[in-house]
Amino acid sequence: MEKEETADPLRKLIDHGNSFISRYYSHYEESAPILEGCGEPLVELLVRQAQLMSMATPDHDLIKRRLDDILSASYNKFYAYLYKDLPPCWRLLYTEAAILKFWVLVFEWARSRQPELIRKRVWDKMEWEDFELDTPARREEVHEINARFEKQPKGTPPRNMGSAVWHQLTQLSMRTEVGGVHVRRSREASSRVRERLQEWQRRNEQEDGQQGPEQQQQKREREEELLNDMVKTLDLALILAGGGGKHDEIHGYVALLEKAASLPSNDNSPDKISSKPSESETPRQDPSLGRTRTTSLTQPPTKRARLSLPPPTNPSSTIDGWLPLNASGELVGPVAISDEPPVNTQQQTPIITQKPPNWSSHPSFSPYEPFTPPVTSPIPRLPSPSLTTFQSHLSSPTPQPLILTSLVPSWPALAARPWSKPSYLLSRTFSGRRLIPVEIGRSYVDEGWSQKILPFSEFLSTYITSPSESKGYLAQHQLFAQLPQLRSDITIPDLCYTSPANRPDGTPELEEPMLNAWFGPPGTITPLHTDPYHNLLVQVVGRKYVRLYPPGAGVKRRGEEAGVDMGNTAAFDVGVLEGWDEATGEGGDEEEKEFKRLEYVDCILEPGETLYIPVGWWHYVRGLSVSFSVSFWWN
Amino acid sequence: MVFYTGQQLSYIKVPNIIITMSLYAAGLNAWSQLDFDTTKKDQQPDDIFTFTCLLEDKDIDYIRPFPSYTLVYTTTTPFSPTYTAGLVPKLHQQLSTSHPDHYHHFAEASNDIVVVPNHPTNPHPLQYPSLTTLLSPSSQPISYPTLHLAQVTPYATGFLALSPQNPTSSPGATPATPPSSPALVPLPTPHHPHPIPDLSSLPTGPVTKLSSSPSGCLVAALTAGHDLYLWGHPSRCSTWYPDIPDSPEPVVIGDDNEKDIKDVAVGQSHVLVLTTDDEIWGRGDNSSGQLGLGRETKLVTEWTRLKGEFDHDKKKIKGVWAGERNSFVVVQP
Repeated sequence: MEKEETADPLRKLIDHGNSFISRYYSHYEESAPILEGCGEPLVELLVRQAQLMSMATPDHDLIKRRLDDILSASYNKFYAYLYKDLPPCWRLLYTEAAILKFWVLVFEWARSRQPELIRKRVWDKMEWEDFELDTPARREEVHEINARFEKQPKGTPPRNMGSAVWHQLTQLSMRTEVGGVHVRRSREASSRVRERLQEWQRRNEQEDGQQGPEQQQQKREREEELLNDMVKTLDLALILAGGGGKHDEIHGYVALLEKAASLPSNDNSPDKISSKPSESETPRQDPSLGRTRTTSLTQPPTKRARLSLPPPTNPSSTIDGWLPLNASGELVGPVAISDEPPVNTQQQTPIITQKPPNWSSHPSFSPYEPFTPPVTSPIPRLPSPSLTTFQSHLSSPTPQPLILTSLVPSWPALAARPWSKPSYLLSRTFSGRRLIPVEIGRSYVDEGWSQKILPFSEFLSTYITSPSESKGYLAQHQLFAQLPQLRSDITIPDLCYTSPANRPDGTPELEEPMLNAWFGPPGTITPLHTDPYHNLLVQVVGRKYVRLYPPGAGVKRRGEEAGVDMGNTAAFDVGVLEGWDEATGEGGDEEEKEFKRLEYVDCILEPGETLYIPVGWWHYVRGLSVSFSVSFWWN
Repeated sequence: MVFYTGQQLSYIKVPNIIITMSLYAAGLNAWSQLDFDTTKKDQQPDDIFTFTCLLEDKDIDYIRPFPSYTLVYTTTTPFSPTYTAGLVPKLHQQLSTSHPDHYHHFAEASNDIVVVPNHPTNPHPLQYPSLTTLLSPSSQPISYPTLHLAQVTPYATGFLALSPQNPTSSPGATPATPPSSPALVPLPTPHHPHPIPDLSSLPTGPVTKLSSSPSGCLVAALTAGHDLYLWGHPSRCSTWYPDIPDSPEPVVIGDDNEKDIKDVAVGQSHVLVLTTDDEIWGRGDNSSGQLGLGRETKLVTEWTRLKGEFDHDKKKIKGVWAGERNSFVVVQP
């Protein structure tokens, strides 16, 4: 375990990628029965890209385009079916293509950050491809020479053999590593491979151009772009395809990437990893930096022969050309790490492994409320009922709404890991790189309402921390399935494990409570609607106004709109009829009169408070300040 | 070429006047669906980014571009493809051998629903939930016994179809939409086909051709009087046609004066239009080269004249076809 902690995270990422590509077939076999449903052309196209990736110098651009073709074809299927009817193959195919694309991007990124790591990979592949080209006769010849060598102590000519013959034999073959296995190859083969590798390096150097300060800056920008692309590729698989059942695998990759990205470029000294802050991108003045570059580009021809020698005695000299050594000086080939299980995300998060930073000095979200509606029919408050009290409350024929003022006092999200601090949330979202789905517009029934997916940092800066014309609301998103590092800041209240009596017909029983995040600026609105679940709405940051109408209140429902059944949403707009918002459509006096007659209860929910909304109750929710809430649905 | 002169039975062979048609194509070639040259064996063929002549034959009739393969039909054998390129999925192979008549007519929507508009033994359209069910011996299709369909075009969740006669409006072609509503709403539940009211009496005559994108973004209808009507789902084509109307509206194409339109073809995210003066215009996604605009252009959001070899010498263009991410142009002498 300790070895893992000190290992270079970028190397670990690359090793993982090498292993993923080289063992793609077994990875694919698990998915194959489901993928079949997508038809063999797309599946063939996917497997073909993995095969090409396992070659020494694959055409990354074309492979990425082909993977994008698969992503686009699968994505179009998401629109051709209702969510519940979509055959599972399409989400899985999307996810598989996204994961493969992630690795293509990783190799490009790593080539820019630590060329010697990728050079090792390329060299291995070239050696293997050349080995494959050997004719049987050629192999037989080398095999015979090998057989004679194996009987001899190293370096001494066999008895009865003249030194000239011995010299000839050593010229004919040499030990080398092919696909992680030591074999003897001819010297000709070695020089063929060496030439190919040099050609590859020349091409890269041409592409990279000069290494002036301006180019360095461009290189950094390109690396940052690739990093965002990698995060985006995986996050889209999580958000659009629901992770295709591969959540844990994807979380593991993001965690590996986040660790690797926390290192400055071209610096793989193990002792610097743990102390580096994640934001740092400044190049270090490391003596090994220059040496790595110059020596690795001009490898002497016989360099590979050293692989058969004992490893260097100094275990700390890990930057020795392209030698794939780990921190203990042991050889690490692609096969050696292949059995490593996916990284556990929980252990990767810096907050847990390091001393927790003190967030109290960081600024919080503004508590500013542009408008505060009056509370006219307050919902009763009580501290925290026992499980049995709550169960009997639920079991009554018409359970009433309640505010529980101290149900979640121990949530880290309210104290030590404060969701009220933008800097904390950024630290948990890969410096704000992680993507989230955001609803744009005041309310989902308004004209021009839309959804978009954007990086968390952009969401914060565009919609939360600066005033914005349009409203952006992270609403009803299963954020915690996507960002497990935030999930550990909250706990599911025990009350969600009660069994309510009245479950609506046709609603399947939830095995686990369903968690959703609601995070937005002042003035976000969830129009009056009902849900088929009991709901505990926990207010974490800021304040929200909530108004509730009982199930039998006679709220007028909307009908089918643009093919979508809107029957769970009310036909009138509470904010408009109360005069809080401007009307967007026509509303008659009749409607207003009818609305005013309806009985309701309301409240302003404060941070740390929990509102219990019984199943079937109509609720209208309005963010007053910057507000972050979590809802728990259960039945 | 055989010429008879007088009463003598002699002939002159004219070597260079053999009249041939050319197929030009551009776009996605992931499965070699644009490589009619069968000697080429490329593990990872690249896309084709400019319109390129791929095939010559004396009478190319029409093209059927499927997502992973292309069929080219000639007038000599009207019911079986003369040329095939790309990877034919197993289900399609099975259909072509076990139900050749179905295979020749079937249309498949993105949600797997299959419609066979007409059939030698059954003039009425049949609808199956998928190709797999069609191929199973016990399949019971939905039949529309009152309907005759001339042309069917699939989109994301259903089909649009042309019926040769319509009891309620003037004789001629009137579009009907089998399993969906005219506004292209994603409703995979089967609805009975119903006419699109906005297209029932158009100033330049009845609709003669329909084409639609499998993504459900866009539908095109061409009238007998060479007008083009487009409509679709704005949110589904926000990147390349954000102002697409949600009900049929005529479209004006051409720099100076309005062009008359002879043919139209809609792909996943691109559309090709052939004018009566043999110009090709297009707009939409070019990331696979489907508009033949080269590698650098990823997207065009305005109507753009598409040029290529087929433009030279003002060649006559027979028609345009669009696959999901590629395009085909047939040039006649």
